[in-house]
Amino acid sequence: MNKGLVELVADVMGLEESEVTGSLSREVDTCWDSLSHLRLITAIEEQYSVRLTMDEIQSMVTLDDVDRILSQYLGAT
Amino acid sequence: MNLRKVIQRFLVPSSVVTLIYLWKYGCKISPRAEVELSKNLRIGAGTEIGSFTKIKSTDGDLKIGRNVSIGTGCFISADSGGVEIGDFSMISPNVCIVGNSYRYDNLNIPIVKQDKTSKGIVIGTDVWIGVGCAVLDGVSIGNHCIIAPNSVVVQSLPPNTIALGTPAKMIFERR
Repeated sequence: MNKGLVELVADVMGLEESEVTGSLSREVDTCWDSLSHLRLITAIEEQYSVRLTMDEIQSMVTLDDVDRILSQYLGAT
Repeated sequence: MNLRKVIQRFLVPSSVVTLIYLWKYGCKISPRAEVELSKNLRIGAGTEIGSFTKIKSTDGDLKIGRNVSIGTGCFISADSGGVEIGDFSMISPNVCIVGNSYRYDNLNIPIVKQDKTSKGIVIGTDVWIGVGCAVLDGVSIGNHCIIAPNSVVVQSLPPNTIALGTPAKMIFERR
């Protein structure tokens, strides 16, 4: 997984980097609430200069989803 | 406080105020809300104001748009700068919107005895303000904003913003 993304998630959700895994889920993990989700999206957009669509934002359920969608943007540039 | 203010604030029963505003503007005010009978207050049709909400407008213009929902226990006060709330906005319970402030630049005079200032507050259309927020004087909140619960809005927010915290800061732009 993208190292920068791990650092971002750890920072936004107040986790240690070792706790950030691809299975981290906003349906299960309490640290990933709706506001954390919005903060994470804003942080990703600022860090990587991308603009995510609402469909993409809503489909990000696990960190693997986030990584996959972000990779599509980064691969396209 | 002059006689007119005393009459407006204390001598008109709230059920009468409810009926007057229903007839005059087509809005629904709970008889248990405390809304002053004032020519400074304009409320759009379809607006609902919940119980135990206090709306104070004898000192300045207060315009509430159409289909606005104001929850229970809110405090909305307009002073010379005025307060505007746009159409379709939702004000959740226990929100304070205070359209004035006090000067505090002279340490030898109690703050309450120093002058009041009022720059006014503008809340756009389709704004959702969460439970327990405070919106302070001089702030403008753009259309379609969402303010998370218990935030204190001290700076203006651009349209489509989701803001959180004390002071409220943008965390996301709606799209």
